[in-house]
Amino acid sequence: MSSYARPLDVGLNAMAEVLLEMVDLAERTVSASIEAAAEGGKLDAQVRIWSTELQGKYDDVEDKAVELIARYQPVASDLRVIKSSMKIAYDLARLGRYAYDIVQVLDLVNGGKAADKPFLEKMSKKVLEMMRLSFETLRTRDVQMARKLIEMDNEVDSLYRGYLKGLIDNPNLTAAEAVSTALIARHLERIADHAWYIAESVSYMVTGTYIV
Amino acid sequence: MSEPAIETKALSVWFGRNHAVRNVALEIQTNQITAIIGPSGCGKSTLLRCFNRMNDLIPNARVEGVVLLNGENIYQLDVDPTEIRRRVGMVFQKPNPFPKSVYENAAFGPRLNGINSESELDSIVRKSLEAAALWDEVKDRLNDSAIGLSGGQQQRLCIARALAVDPQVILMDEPCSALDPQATAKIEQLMTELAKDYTVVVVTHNMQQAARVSNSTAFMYLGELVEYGPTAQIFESPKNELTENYITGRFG
Repeated sequence: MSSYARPLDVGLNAMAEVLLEMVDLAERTVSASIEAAAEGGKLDAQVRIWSTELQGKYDDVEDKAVELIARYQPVASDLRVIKSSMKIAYDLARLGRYAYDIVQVLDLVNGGKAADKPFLEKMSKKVLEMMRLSFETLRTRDVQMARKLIEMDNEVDSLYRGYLKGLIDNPNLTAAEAVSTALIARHLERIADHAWYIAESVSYMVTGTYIV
Repeated sequence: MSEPAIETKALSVWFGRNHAVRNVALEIQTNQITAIIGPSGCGKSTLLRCFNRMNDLIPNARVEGVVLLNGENIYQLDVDPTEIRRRVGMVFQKPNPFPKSVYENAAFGPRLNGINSESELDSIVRKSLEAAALWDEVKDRLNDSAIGLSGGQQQRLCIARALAVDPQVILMDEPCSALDPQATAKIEQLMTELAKDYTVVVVTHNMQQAARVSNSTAFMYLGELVEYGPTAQIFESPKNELTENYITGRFG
């Protein structure tokens, strides 16, 4: 039994390359928006550019995927890689979009700073950690690694819900402070979800099942 | 699930000292299309030929194990292979109509089975040609030579000829590899129709064909049945690495 490079592999590799570019870009974009939330600052122009770039790369992955299906009628792991790549590219584009949403919220409030800094810092830290672990899972295709994400995602969820509950009873915050913090927390929670979806897709890619 | 149409147990075939099919256990479900795939020489055609005792005709061939057709062992001593071949029809890679008229091709089997009434033969010929999706194309040229038909029409005539003796199972050995894409599409459509009334087993080199038409797919390698399962599962998430490597074109 001999192994040789198939024409399909050339296309799969090109698609994987774009996906990895998206990973780097998504990490940069989300980090920048979180930094802006913590420190203030006018990063919205840059984050918008990166977010648009991510959307463009997502379109590119989808075009490549459709071409590979049309040309090679891929099956088995080839088919799973293509399906997962499309889903993951979508998730990465969403990460960019939520990052942009965060800086837009900052734009709305005075000074470009969100109100509850300690809370957002705590939540951001968890979310960034999740995102990086999810990306590492994608780079290494090590599904075992993704197990930890389930627990982390639950933590982020309960942080978010707990915070919303507390917010309603907090008379010390202005409307602008409450709304901006709640919205940013909401976007962070969605980022965590997409980090988890990426790990699920890696699992499907490798094993054929979404159960991590 | 109902009783399988065909079931093999510990089935082995030798040609002289060559162990071509190795200890195969397989259940072919009734009214389903089962595809057998695998690289050249893997034993898939040999396995197919066990289902109607066609290997009996090859000198040196030795079959061991059990092949049950609706629960009956067709390799028992008192079984008449000719009767088995009536119940289990076969269509080959190259269309092989007899050098006779279209009508006589379809009427050939029933005549052999002792049917002589013209009206009865007319009815069987029409029904078989209709079932093979050929009637509309040949109804005005039933007495023309079958050799004048196109390749795809000839292949459908061969299917009609097999259907004319009222079989339970149709075996197809690479039925489309000599046909163009349009004729192939017609035969594939026909296979799906046939599965409503018959059990269809198809051996094919064309994996996309197996993926398109079959309910279940069996992958063979070096005489062994490596993996057998629902076609969607085999082509999306095969369990065996050999299957994965073969269907993704990494070897074979």
